Amino acid sequence: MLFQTTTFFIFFAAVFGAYWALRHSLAWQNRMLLAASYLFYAWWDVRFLILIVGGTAFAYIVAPAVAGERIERRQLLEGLALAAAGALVSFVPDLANDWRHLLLAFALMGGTVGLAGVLNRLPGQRRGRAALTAGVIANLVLLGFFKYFNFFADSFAGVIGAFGGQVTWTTANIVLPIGISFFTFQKIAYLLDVWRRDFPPSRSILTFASFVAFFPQLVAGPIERAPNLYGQFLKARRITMEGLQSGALLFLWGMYKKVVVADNLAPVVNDVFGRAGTATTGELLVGILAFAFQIYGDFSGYTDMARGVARMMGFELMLNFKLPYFSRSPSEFWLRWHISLSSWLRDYLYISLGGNRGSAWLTYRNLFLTMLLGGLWHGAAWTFVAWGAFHGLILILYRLVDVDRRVVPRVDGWMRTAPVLGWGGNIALWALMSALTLVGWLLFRAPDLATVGEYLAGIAAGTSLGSAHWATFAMFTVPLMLVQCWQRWTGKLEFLAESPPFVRLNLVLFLLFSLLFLSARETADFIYFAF
Amino acid sequence: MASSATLAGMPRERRERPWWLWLLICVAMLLYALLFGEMFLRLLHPQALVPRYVTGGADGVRANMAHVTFRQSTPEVDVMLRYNAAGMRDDRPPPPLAKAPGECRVAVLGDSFFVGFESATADSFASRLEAELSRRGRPCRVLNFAVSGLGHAENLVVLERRARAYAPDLVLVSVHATDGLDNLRANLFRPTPDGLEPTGNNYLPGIAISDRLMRLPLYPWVQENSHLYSALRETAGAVGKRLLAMLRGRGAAAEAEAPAVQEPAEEAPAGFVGDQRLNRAVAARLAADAGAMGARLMLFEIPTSGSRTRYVPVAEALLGADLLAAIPNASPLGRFQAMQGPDVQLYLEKGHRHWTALGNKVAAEVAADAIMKQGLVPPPTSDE
Repeated sequence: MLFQTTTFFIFFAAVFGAYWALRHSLAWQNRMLLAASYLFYAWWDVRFLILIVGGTAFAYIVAPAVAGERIERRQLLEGLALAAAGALVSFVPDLANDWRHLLLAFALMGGTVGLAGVLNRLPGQRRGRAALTAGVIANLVLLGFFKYFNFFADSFAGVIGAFGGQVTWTTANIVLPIGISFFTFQKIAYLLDVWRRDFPPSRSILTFASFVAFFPQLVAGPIERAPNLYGQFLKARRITMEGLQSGALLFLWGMYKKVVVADNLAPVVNDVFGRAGTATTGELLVGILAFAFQIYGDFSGYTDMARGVARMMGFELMLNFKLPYFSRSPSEFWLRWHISLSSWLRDYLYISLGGNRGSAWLTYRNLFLTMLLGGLWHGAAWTFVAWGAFHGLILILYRLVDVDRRVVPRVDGWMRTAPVLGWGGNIALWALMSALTLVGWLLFRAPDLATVGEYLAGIAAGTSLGSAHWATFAMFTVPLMLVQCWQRWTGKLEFLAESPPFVRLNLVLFLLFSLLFLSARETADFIYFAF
Repeated sequence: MASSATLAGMPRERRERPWWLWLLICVAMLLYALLFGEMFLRLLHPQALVPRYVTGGADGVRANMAHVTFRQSTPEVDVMLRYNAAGMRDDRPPPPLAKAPGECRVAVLGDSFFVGFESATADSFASRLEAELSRRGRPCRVLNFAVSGLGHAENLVVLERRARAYAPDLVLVSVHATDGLDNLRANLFRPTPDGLEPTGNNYLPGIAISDRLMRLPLYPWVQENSHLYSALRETAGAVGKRLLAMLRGRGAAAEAEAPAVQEPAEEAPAGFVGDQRLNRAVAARLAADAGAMGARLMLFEIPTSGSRTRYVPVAEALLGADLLAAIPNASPLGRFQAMQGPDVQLYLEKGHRHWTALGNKVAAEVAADAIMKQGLVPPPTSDE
């Protein structure tokens, strides 16, 4: 169920109507949201509902133990009941084929009961460590199986083959459940927050399940943290005209970025990357530039739609993008691009590895490993690993030449601060970082590393700069660029809600007519649904 | 009356706006939005302005309005069209019903391709066909009964109720990718084991609305000049057609077990064949009716164009190879494919994608060749 489809509009109208009707009962509102979120997820494939329901139940059960407390019987039973209900809904419709899966689900529930018993017998500190290890490993195993099993199996066979050996096996046809990387990271963050005493373990299965499965951000983020989102399920939320208006405007802007910008650039990108070996320099340049805007429009568009939908219901999701293409260094880029992931990697991986608390070399190692794993998070392919490694390397390089220290501290106060290095220096840094970002996107988008080589060789060949795609590129990116410059200049990210009424009216009309008449004929899935 | 606090803390009465002011604001906003939309499209996404001037015929299917002259303009063409007193696209008046001895008449039935949309009259298929036949030594008057949007089912009514009176020697019917779904949408006939039976329905989609609009003095100007109107009409029309095909298609599918057909893989819309049993029954009836009035029937394929180097056949998928073998037919597909290349434009690309002047010319040459070769019109008498 894509946000930009009629199906979603009908779904949301029904959910919002029910949400409004239940505004006097927080508990029923949350129950309804949970049911709607599960329906939203099951729309793709009901079988995978067990993953989110089962994972939620498991995290709910082990969280008290992570905090060093005993797992109460009530908490165990609530978790098991949720998991059992999820298993039945997921597998009963196709029981003839899936009875083994149902059996496995109940066996895992039995295992969870056993684990809870073992954890309860351990002393407090050991219990916490053991519960955290079990919780994190369970989530990573699940993610690893669905996302990386085939990748590592094939890569292993490739390595053996390179040494003259032969491995023959048939890798399973494993379908990637949508959003698994997002909700898995959200659960791991919750367990780590509990372990660090940053957040108490949840005592309400309903609230916790609603927090994990909240449909606007379920399948492509932002990867929310319990300290931000969980509490919003505990207090009455107000539906206000301001919230409705600014949420709708945010949704509209996100939809424009997705349907008009990203989806219209997709054919350009597909065409150029499909014939990278024969394309001219101009075509290759427009191809990679178009991809930079496609992925930005696609992902930030999704995030804006998610945040807009949530805001209309009185929730506030975290910011995920802060004009990333104005970055002047890799560190700044990661403070502006996919913020919920980059901050997750910083807080739970980089810092866990030691962060910058050791020697310079250890810091560089931690940076590199963090980015490498961040690349792998995006998908099971060597191009993503290369993309992560590339970003790790340029982060280290910028740190070595001490650029970050001069640029990054200015980001948080952001936009209105005076340039640290003077206009010339800032522009030069911005141009260099933009070029590096494009090289990164090339690694990210190319189907394999050989195509990357072809692509770069084609650009270096310096053939014709002309391409029929430039006009399409300009048509769909110039309005976006103008808006971003305006946002950068004024410091107002939510430019629509904050514009004077007459300007807002004209912008809204522009967006509506663009959606009506300039939308791509073929609407595509969100790129990040695949991650 | 509502009240609000001033900065000094003193309550101040605020007048509510009267209802008429709200109404005025809403109307002003609506007009502004329309104006904005018009400017938006003109600047960023110019539309093809292709008015149709179609009304309801007394026979229950759509007909061209009589005595109208109008303009079609797109980013590629700017042409005038004229419908004569009988609603034929022709600068000349319709001929008398009674045929002069030895006179040859060809009735052309089809949709906007055969009307000659986006083409000057002299470049339209019907005019070109008349010229080509004349060049081959067989002058015939080509009577253009084509109406935009008509499929075979409606053309069957046109043949029986309009063309028959002119006693044509040859009836030339287009076979276009849209015919299958149009047959379903029209719901004028249903296939039976013995052939075809009328459902007793009319099919005049949106005609009541467009007739009412046509009475407004500004409307003709709007439909020939407004990009926003054109875009909204096309969008609404496409949605309506899809819904109608879906609704009627479901019924037809339940009633009939259509034989499996191999659809062209690309360019033609998915499911364009509709109900092949219905298509075949209608085409067979066209041939039978033409025969009953002493005329021959020729089917003429309009290939679907994916690009300047890709043309896709549709007739076999719509009607089946065996039926095509039994009814005289022709197709410009071979000629189009032989000519294809990035510099050869046979279909317009920025409007409604009808034939270019060259496309009409080539199609008319193919049709004239086929007519002559298959002897589908009587030879000229000695005094001609």
